[in-house]
Amino acid sequence: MTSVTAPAARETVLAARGIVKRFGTLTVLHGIDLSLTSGEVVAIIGPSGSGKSTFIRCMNMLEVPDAGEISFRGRRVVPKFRAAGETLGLGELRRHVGMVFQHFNLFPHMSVLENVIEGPVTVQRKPRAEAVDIAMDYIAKVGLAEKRDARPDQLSGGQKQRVAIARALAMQPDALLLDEITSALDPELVGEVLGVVRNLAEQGMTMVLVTHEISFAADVSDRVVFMEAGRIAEQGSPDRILHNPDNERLKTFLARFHG
Amino acid sequence: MYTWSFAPILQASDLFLWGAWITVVYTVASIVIGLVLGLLLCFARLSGIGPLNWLAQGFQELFRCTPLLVQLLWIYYALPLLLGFDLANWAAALITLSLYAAAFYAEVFRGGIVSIDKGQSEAGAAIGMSGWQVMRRIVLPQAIRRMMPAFINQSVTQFKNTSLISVISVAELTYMASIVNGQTYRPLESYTVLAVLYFAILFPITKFADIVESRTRSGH
Amino acid sequence: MKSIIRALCVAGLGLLALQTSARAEDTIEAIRSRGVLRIPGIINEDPYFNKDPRSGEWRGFAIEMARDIASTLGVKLEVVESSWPNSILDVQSGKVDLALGVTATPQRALSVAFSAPTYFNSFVIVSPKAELSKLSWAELNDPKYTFAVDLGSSQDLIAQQYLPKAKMLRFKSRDEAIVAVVSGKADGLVNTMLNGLVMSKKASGIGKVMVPSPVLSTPSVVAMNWKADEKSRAFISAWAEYNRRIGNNQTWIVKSLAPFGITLDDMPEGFGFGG
Repeated sequence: MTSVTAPAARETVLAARGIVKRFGTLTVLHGIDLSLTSGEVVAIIGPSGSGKSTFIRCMNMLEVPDAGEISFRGRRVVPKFRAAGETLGLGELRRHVGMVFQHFNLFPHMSVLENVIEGPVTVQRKPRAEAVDIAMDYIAKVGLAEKRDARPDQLSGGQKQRVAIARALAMQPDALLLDEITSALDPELVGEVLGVVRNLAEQGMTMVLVTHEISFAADVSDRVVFMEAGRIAEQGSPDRILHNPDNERLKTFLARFHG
Repeated sequence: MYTWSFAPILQASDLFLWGAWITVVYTVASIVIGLVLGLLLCFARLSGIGPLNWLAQGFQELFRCTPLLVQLLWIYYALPLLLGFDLANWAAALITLSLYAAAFYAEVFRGGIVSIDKGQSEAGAAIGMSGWQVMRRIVLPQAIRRMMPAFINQSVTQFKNTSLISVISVAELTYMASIVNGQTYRPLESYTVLAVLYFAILFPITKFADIVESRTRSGH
Repeated sequence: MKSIIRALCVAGLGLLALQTSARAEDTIEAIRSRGVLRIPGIINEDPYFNKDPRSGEWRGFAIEMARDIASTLGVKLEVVESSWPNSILDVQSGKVDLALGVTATPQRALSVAFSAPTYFNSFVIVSPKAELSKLSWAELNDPKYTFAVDLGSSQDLIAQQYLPKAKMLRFKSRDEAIVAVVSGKADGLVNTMLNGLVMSKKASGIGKVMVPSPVLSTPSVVAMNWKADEKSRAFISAWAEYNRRIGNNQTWIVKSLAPFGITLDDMPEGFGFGG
């Protein structure tokens, strides 16, 4: 477990400032600020409709904010694939910041191995042999080495999600964004996926996870952020947030989980 | 009582076969050209650039909402007057059939691409792929499987549409039947042979289409 | 439906052709400088036109007439493959210089310019039923008779006018109308003398040519684009008049019927091409 207080000397990997997002006339995010430092694990919790998923999707610009700024290692991200000079384009951003989705989104016309080497080969232009080595390493790390030639439709939900994690890791990103990655899984399959995430945290991977697994969030993260109605209502150490929150609505929210 | 006599018709079988060949040539040529144009039109529709989208859509509506017969006559007779140079009938036929095919194929392609779950292109984007890489590596391979039945259906329709080019005197199969009629004065027998020939060509194609369709269903 | 579409096309083209140039064209000069006279040729229209599908050679009296005009002008003849309904469009759009074998009607005269008649064509019934043979148009105009005709042709117009009470089966093409008679669905076919004669010799089961009284005939003319100048039109009309009066047109017509075994003796009494 990493320490609770992130030292000021640690580099800021990903930063969001003043993020506003509207869908039509509905404002979903009212100005979110969040910084992620190297090796930090941040968990975002909150009720449905609080804007958590929208926010994490803003962090890799799958949603483009209407106001505010995303920056990666100090460079501002612009919503274009390629960018000039100081700014960072989307292509480059996403090579450094990976994402795992709630519904896995594996490529059905490719095998497990082909899914995982796709990024290194097509985007990083690595030779296939090198990509296969990298890929098999991560596929083994998520415990699916024997499934390398299987098709996604032959896998269970938990296995699919682990492949999705391996696919994101194969790009060797600086940070990972995990968007409710266990919400679509049958309960008995959740554990195998959380196990992989725990290992990643222990190895120092910088992560943001949006999750409903409160106790897991507490266990694995350095900081818990509670979002509600498009704003950060409260944030702090897992211990304080979960056992001694200030915010009334957070208390109500947590009460649901503790019965 | 009408006495059937196929002998004079069979003597003209070389004409029928030539007509069938011409029909196949126009069908294949218009499918190939229509396919390429249709793909471009489809990308124009999906480009997100307003004017490009509207232009492409306008083109599609024009060809889908007017009868092919009218299009043929217009492109053969009226278009040259606007352009200032003459169009031979075979050129007008090929152009019309190809543009018609493009308008319909564009819709088939668009339907296929749009039916691919958004999560697929998001996953591609999330590993740093450009829009073109996502289309080429992720979306199109899946979309092609999905759109195959509709594509084959439209192509069969293209084949049957070719018979209309006889209206501007292009010597395809239906036109050949008229020629044989003129020589033999046996339209009943001519039309019978015509129907048999069309069936002989289309039946294997539709059977092939059925096989492709069942493979598409099970292969996923 | 096709005829409606064509009518719209003809009207539209007329407008379009007028826009593109207001100046009257010296058609004869244009033909001479090009060195070629272009006419539409229609397959299966014996004795007017027909094309040998294997050799590509055209024959028929309309071709003979066109060859004569071309040689008078000192140019070659080029035949553009087309169809009856399209030949008006061909003239209007400038794809051809003139069209032969066209039946002059007042409506058509609004879209193209017509010359003096080249010959007169009578309307006939072709039928295997002998009992129809001596009947007049008035007697044939009876619901107990069923006739077949090709849609939109001049014989269709005649049928509408003189046989409104009879049952009419209208077909897209003459071939289909022939099938109807031969298979017994219709008692007879409404057509013109020349086509009728050839048909009766060639189509088995179609029967004989009958000319109902009163004899209805229309002039067959040469059609030209409205932009053709006075001189060109006068030339064509003079050619038509001359050849009709001295019997050249009749000679060409009779010559084109000979391959089908039809002679002047086969023609019904009182029938003549001179008008």
